[in-house]
Amino acid sequence: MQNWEKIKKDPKLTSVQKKRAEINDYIRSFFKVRGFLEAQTPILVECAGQEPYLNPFQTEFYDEKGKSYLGYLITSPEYSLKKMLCAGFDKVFELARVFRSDESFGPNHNPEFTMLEWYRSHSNYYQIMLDLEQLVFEVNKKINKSKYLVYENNKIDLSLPWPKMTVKQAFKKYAHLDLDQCKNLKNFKKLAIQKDFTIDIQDNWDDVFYKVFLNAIEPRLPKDRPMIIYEYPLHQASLAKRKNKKSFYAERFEAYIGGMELANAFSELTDYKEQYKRFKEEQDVREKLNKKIIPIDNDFINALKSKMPDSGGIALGVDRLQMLILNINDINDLLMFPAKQIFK
Amino acid sequence: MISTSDFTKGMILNIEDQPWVIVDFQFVSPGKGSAFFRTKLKNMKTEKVVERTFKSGEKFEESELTYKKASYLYSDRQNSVFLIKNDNQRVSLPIDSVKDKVIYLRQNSDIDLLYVDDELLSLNIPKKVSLKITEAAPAIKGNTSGGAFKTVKLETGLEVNVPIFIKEGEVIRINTESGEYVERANE
Repeated sequence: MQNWEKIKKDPKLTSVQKKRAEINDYIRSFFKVRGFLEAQTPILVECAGQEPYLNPFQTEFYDEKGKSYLGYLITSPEYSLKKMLCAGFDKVFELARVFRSDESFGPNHNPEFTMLEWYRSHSNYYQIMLDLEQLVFEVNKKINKSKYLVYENNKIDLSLPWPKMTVKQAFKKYAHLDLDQCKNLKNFKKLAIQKDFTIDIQDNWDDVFYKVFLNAIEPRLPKDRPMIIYEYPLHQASLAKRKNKKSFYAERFEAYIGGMELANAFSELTDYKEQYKRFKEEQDVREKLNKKIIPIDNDFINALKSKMPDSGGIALGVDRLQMLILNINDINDLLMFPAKQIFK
Repeated sequence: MISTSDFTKGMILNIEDQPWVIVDFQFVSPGKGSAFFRTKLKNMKTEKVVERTFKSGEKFEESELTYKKASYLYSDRQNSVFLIKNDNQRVSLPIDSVKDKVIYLRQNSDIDLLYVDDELLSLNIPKKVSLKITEAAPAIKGNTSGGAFKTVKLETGLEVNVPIFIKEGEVIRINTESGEYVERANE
């Protein structure tokens, strides 16, 4: 049965859609009272996100003379929003529709979803952590009238400040591995095998990292509190700034609530040379994975070159936040028109 | 060989020479790394349940699951013995691994023997069975309030709680998953 039919049969179900809209209203007002500008950046772009493990939707279209253009649907509005920081806007946010192919149709994924991103210039990821804690606490309080949320039978206390742990501490505590000894792939594999992880010859550094993280760490994170995991190894830095020139770690954090990955944040990389180098490396990884090479967004590199202030930014899965606050365990019960009901 | 993209609930994977049935699985995509599948697996020999996460695209040997129709003959101190229907062959399983199931079985009860890759592993019994009550205390007068139960003994030695009005010699239906009384049987 389609969701609209379920709602027609049981009008009580309308409350889910009404509360989703309320949550988005609160998100907007949270940022507007703090002086953020609401941005609306393109969904259809020429250069999609480079991340080798994400698969953007590709599309072709034509102008009035029949000339064809190749485009992508964004996997994140990140490049556009950072161009706005370079242009001089100092606090921006967007509730963006983003698209990712090659993912499942639930319970935590839909190929099209809503991403909240916000960026602060003259700032860093510590300020973003504070924003995130306050945002989730306040939005939940408005909807649930409580400092707790209940998700999958776990009562989760959202009081500030949230518990925090570096990636290095988490590896030590839950997997008994010292990440400082795992900087090169050979050592990392050797140590992981000693701890009984199943490692293949073709696994790269990120594969070993996630085999340990997903098998030994993520399932053991506390169930009654959110958790911020921060300072990721350089291999996992993506668009994050290095802690310092020689550090093995970058200023990136992820927030988990109720076992779900909710948000990913950086102190933004502003060095255009370093950014270009990482894009090139990501293209190499794409090639090794036999994936289509996505062109580098030179306009973004030029924007960084024109100087981007030190900034912090974050991407948060809005559908997942709604699932947590409304205690809905399957995204197909949350969305009005989930892809599963359209395509499957 | 099967891959993570073929996963379905109930599929049996051969991992390190052990048969594991997929109880549940979920797609996980960390974004900054390749996609993974988080599974809940049950070892079909030991019944142990574990959570394991596999990289998308990992390959496994699939184990073949077959059933053979059989009837239950008897149990001694070590083994329970069954008769396979189409070839009259007798096979046995250690009593310790099946005692929770044969307690519901009368002699000649129909069951399914479960083989993984031609190795006899376990048996499936019907979800409901009918058994005769061999010992029951008579209902005590005055104790007839709704919801009153008493414990009776069945022909296989199993003890269950039944409503107070059930008498010795009656045949009752038992749910073999919960071990609870369902209703009087009309035999």
